[in-house]
Amino acid sequence: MTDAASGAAERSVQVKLVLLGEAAVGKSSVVLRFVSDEFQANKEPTIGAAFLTQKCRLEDRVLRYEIWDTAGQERFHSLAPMYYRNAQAAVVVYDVTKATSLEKAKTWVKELQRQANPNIVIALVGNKVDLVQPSQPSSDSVAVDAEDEADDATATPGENAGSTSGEAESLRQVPREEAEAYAQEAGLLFFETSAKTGEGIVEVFTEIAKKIPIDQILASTRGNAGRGGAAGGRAGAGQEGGVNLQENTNKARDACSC
Amino acid sequence: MAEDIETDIGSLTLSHPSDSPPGRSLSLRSPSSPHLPRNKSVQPRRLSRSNTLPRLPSSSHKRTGSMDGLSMEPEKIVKLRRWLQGLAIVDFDLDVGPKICSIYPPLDLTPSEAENIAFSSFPDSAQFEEGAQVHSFRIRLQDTSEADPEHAPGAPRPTEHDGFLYGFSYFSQRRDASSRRGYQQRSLVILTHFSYPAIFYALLAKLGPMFMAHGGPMLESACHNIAGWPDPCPGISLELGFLGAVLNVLIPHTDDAQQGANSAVVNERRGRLATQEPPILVSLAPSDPPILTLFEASFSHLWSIWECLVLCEPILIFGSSPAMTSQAIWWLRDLIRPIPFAGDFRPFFTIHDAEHAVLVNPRPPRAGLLLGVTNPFFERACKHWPHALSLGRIPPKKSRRNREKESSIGPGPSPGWTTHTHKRYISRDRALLKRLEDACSMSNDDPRRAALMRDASTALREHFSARTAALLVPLQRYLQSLIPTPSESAYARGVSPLPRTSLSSTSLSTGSSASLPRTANNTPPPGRVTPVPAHARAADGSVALRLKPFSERAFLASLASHGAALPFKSGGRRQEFYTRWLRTPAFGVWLARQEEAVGKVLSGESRGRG
Repeated sequence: MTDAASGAAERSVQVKLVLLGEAAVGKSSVVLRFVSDEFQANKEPTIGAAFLTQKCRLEDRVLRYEIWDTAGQERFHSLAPMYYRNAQAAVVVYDVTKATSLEKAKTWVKELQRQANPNIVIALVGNKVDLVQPSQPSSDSVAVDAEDEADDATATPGENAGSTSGEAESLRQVPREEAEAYAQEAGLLFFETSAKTGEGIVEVFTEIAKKIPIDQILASTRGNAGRGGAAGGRAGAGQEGGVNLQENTNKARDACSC
Repeated sequence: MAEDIETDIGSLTLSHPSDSPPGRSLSLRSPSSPHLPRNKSVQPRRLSRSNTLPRLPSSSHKRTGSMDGLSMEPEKIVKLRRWLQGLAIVDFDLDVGPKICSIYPPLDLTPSEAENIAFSSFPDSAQFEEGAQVHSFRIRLQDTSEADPEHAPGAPRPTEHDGFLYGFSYFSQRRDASSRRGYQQRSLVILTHFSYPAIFYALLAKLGPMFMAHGGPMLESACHNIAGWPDPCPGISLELGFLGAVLNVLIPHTDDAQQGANSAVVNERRGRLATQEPPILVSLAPSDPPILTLFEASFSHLWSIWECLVLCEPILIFGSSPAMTSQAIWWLRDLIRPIPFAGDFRPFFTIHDAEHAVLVNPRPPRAGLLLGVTNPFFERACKHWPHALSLGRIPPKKSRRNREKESSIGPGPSPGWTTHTHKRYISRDRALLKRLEDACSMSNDDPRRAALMRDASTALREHFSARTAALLVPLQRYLQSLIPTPSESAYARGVSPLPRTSLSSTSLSTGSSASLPRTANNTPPPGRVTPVPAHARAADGSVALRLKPFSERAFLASLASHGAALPFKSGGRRQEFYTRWLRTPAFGVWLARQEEAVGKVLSGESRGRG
């Protein structure tokens, strides 16, 4: 909601992006890291869906994510179409320390591929890799960290586990290779991330931005100011090449111009 | 919207006590006026729900106030209430008629207020077999300061700005064989202190159908979205996320400010965002369906109607549905901005309203009252009112000869404008009139019709908004002459005159009207002592600067010599019109605000210099 700082006459492209995934895999934390570069322990579960925006610069283009961070709890499942309807991008999140959360992610991917905008860009994101990286400097207090994502719907496995560096990798229930292979087969972008450390977060949104056909959206909406036009005008895969978030960026703040 | 979502309509049904009599005929009755005994000792009813809605606590209907197990932290409720006071679900109770079955967050309402909300939330005539419609209402809140001391409210009283509570109701009716009535009738109502129809209509258009399909989690999601919104500060532009959609809204500076589609903010926002729809101007009437359809039978009288509005004449507005009367009244109310609205308006008024006897009785109606009604009862009860507007289309051409007969399809007066007293002062705009008629005469099948209707509706609003601004031009011209000149101000403060500064450019706030032609000749020649009636000595000895007193005689003289911006039919009619306008309560409020605004500027100036 902070347009003020942006360049004066720039036209930005709206990109509706939805986050989906099982409860407590860290969807809200991924967004919070991206939008505010913050991490909040013991984040309360999302009700319905939270709405956030983040403006990003992609070379000479300005792109504005309208992010719908949905609740993972089952009682909100039937509301999800409202959020992924007309979305140009989806981030489906699972927890690398919880095998069932990947299964849930797969059902979301299937639902999206069946019911969402046919050109939707989908990213599969395995979150909480900080829990499975023995060398991670901040993993000294894994037991505490593991509670970060806990909410009333699911608890993070490994919580309260007396974890030493050696045990960390054993918390992993979803091998990277397995998830990556699935993503490739299903035609998804794939990332492993840690909302806690920030690892991989900006990359998710950067790679999505690269796949969004910005020029086509701009062309299709010029002289036709309609949100529907944005979604409808997206034919074929995005053209690649030449579009990059400024590369010297580790943090969302730096990557985004506001 | 709802169409791509699995729906389970009927999952929320009223369950009736098991001993209730078996189903009656399925004939459609008036939703809010049942011919049923009024039996107050009704068993508490509960919602029964199918198991398509999992995980709902079963204790959720013990008390009014909890809604489908919805609960929010107190600080979130505070944030929600910046925008709305509560969401009410009103169901049809076979014994008492419409009845609030829950409100969230809980509100302390008197029984009479609760009944008023319930009846105002339902149409009082049959609208359709199955379907949904949005309308609104405005009811007076009671003064409970002297209420029963034993009454210990468990919930806060509604907040209000102007003594009224605004309701926006999504009424839905579906066939339901399990109901004795044959139908499930239910309204979802937003109760709020804001008179911002455009945004609440937009919210209900989204939330209404989704709530009917998905129940509790939908309301929960909506409440959390709204609690996450920024503050509705006057004059700001906001981006609001609501149930998967983004609403761009503009909040007006005041209730009487004119919100224009051409304002700089609007254009600036539109230019920057490539895919942005035009923002919602929250104080406007909902734009869909195009307003033209409501006034089609009265196009040539619109200029008279506008005059009646600005002259604070009471008008009875009859429509066949509350959706029509609400939209029309919000639209008419908007036309007189930036003149303050000094009357009372009721987008949908029922015979059950607590103020029914106060507003509708054998005495002449109150000045400035706009009453929206659908019940044909009012046609008789308000026979002595000076003006009545009946909304709707002219009956089809072939039957025009038998219009009386034809229009008796629906009860109530046939569409058109009736006045016992008013004669038009200003000329009509024939080009605009033609445009309105052309848009409406276009065949329903013509693909261009929708756009033409929409554009003509916009043009119609702009035309009358401009006329309202034009009405004020002679007054502003005269008022400029009442502003103390710098030399007078300086004299008052006992300092030497400063070069004339930009006081007149601070301009009397007039919303959208163009800046005034300045009268430059009111600076007295230097050195001459002038009488200074424009200030008075305050108790502390300081000099308070203010506007010189308004003189009706002087104003009318100024009007006669400078003329008016409105196209009056004659000079005599012009003087007569303004003489009448000066006697309206709206003029009094307007003048007081101008005096206040000028006083602020003057005292700011004197502080700045002193």
